[in-house]
Amino acid sequence: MSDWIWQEATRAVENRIRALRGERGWSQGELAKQLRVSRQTVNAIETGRYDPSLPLAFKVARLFEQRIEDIFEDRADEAREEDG
Amino acid sequence: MDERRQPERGESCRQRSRAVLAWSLLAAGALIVSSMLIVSREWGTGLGLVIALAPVLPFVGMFFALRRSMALLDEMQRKMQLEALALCVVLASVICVVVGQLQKLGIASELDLSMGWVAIAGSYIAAYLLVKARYR
Repeated sequence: MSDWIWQEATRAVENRIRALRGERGWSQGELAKQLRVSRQTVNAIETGRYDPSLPLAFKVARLFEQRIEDIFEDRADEAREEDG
Repeated sequence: MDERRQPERGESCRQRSRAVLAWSLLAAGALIVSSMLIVSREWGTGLGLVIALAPVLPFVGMFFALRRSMALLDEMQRKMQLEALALCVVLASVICVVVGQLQKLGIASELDLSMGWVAIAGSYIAAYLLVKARYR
């Protein structure tokens, strides 16, 4: 609806949070509670509409017991090419 | 993440938002009643000042309720507020310019400056809905 205002760029960071959450059988609300953020924030991160801060990304990594780069993938170069 | 942002004494974000809304409605009501009282009759300077400035009190209450509410926001919600405020400034500015120009032409009547909050509140609500749609 509001894309004409924001002129969104192609996503520069992909993440596996939805898959990891699914493996553990957690709802978005349960994950949000553990991360101490809102469910809306978890949803926005999963759908790529919001990239978390570094402290929050580390918190996600600690929660899922994975390295941060195993959860978040940097696609900045590809995004730059796609955006021209 | 800042642990201090968590609700205290079981108070939820929703409860704090309701407090902000309640203070906002009280402030709006006080402003309207005060404005009506001021024009209703001739008041002495002292009593007139009390009536005219009485609505400031609920606005102070609104400020503290808002501050308490914002303390619970997470990083994305804070970003949303910032973007909404940025858009709100632009929208409210456009409204002020349009009304001002129409007044010069005599199309719009002279507006009460204290009612500027209607433009600001309306702009903020519109801006927040746009920002919310962005992150949905």
